Amino acid sequence: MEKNSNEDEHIEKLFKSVDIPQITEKQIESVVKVAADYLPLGRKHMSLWDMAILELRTTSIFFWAACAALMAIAVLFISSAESSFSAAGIFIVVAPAPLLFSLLEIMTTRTPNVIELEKVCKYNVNQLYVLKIMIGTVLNIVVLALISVFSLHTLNSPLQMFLMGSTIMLTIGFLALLIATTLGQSLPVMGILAGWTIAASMLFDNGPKLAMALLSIRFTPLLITLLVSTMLFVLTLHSFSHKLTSLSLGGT
Amino acid sequence: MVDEIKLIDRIKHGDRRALDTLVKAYYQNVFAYFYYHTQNRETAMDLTQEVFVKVVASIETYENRGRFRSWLFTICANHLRNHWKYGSTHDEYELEEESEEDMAVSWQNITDSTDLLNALSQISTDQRDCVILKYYYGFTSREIAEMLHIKEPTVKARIRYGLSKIAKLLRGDETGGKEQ
Amino acid sequence: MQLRTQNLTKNFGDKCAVDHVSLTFERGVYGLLGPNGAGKTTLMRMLVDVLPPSSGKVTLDGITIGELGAKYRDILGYMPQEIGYYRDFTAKRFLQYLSALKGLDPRYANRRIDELLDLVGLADVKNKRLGQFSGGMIRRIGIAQALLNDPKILILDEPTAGLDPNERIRFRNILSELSEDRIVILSTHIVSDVQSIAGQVILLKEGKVINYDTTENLRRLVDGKVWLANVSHRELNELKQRFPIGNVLQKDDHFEIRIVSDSKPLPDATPADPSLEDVFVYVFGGEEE
Repeated sequence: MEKNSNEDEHIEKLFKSVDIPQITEKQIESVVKVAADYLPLGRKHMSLWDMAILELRTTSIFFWAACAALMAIAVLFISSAESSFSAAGIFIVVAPAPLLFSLLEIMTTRTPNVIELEKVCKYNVNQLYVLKIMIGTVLNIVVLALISVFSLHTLNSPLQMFLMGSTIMLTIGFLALLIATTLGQSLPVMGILAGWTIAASMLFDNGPKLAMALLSIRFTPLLITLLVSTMLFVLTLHSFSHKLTSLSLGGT
Repeated sequence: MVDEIKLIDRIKHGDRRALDTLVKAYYQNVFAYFYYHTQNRETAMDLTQEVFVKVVASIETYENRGRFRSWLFTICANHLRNHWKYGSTHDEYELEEESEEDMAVSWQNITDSTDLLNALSQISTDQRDCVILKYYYGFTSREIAEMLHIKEPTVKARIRYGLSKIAKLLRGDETGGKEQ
Repeated sequence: MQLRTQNLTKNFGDKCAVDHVSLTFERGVYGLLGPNGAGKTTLMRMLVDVLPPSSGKVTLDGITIGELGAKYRDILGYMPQEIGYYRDFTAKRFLQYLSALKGLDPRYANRRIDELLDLVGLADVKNKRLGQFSGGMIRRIGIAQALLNDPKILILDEPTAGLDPNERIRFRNILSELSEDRIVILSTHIVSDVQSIAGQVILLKEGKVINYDTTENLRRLVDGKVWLANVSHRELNELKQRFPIGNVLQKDDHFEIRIVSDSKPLPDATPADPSLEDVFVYVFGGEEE
């Protein structure tokens, strides 16, 4: 307890002696009646995974076709590349493309007013972008893995390539999530992705030394950066999935 | 006392009877809070109803961490602020800087509770809030700080200034800078 | 439940689209009636918390809808004026998608979707892509999606626009079945939409509520002011300059018209029973298509 307990007790007594009107049982029951309208409806809570599965199911053929085409082209280019250096270049430049496709898909197949419908649904509309990013990132890594497998013969160190590609994707995914959850917009995310592709191709065009340095990173540090980026990605995802179901009534 | 955890769990599952028990258990408690602040029966009743709607509407997010009572009064305090914010007729009182010597007021010879309400209405909302939460509800300064999202020393200062002003008003040392 | 707007106002630049609107809605059907540009859509978008008001607030049982947030959206159904959709989605998949966003259990949702597609008469095209749907079909999808979560508050913006007469009748039947135990607010510029189903009608003009009453009481506004007359084409044009003209029916060689006027407009005009349509003509003047 805090000091001045004698005085505190006195003041407490004074407060308790104030005459507060009594409210009748009937009036309290009318409050129960109003409040009862807000009782939980016993509906299922959609988890992030439920949403992800649904999103996957509603992804269009266009998207899958684009991913497959990209993969084929990348494998083709890599196998016909002059050096392992340019093969790696192609690999890294195409890395975020599936994610880009998935966002492009939202932009092209929705009519503009659909946002109006999505905004009045229970769950926040931001999650649409976030889910697209999440699925896009994961798919991206799958695509990268497949490209690595198909290019086993041409790539100098396919495993290293794959790890690097995944690191890039997870970092981009993390940035994209951060932007989408804070800004609630997908355009800047697309900006980042497009920016990456341009920057990566310029890097490999003009600064072979820097690119070489990047490519010669050893296995262990690569694994560590991969772990760090995975962690960042999962953490943002986690904090978002928590936000998904929380309401803002209790706080400020 | 009711078993809150079980009760809230039942409300989370949409049990209306549990809601009935909860509201009846806390109604007068919440009502008193708003009555102290507004000193108007009707307004206090409206605000109390609204708080219970908020409680039910957000019950799914309530985790059995900490006491239900703290959560409940956090919602009350928030709701009170919203109430003042949206053009109510009640003006906010200016926070006055008071010197340390004003603080030395003895409470022992003040026993008149009828004027306490009147005096309460003449201190700032923030001071009043902290004083009520501490002396009527028995929350500690730390709990109040958490509920109002302010620092603990701020709570203590508000209580100190609030009390000294009330004491002076009750002893009739000054008419109290009542505005309007 | 009680949904209230208090001095709800929305300014776009220096234009005031909704001007200090204070209304209270309890269970029942409310018709928001006004000509195009009266602020109906703006008002409705604020009611569903898509558009933030410039001033004033919307509360449900005393709590602002913004504060209620997800809880409010959980009990809300909304059909906007323009229904957005995904061209590649089939009708069923689109409704599944929105059900998921509304947090509905997939099993419940699937049952409900079949029910609703049946209700709006789209059951046989449920696996067609929305890109191939006609305007009227999209509107019906719009109605169905608003009902997915069995909302306690249903807000419909021009729900009958673009529907053919049969679809319109079907819609009215759906709505009168629904109206029990919930708040339904629908906007329209077509009087017959609200005439039969709305218990209360709100007349909105230039962003202001100019009248708010039961259809019965509103009709009294024009008691003894509605006249029927048979006129020639030339006379009709002349009368149009002087009086608000309601329904115009073309007969063989003349027109049968309804005139709203305080005094007898023509010597051979006969008094008629007032309808809500006449109130609309009286309040907003001229005819509205």
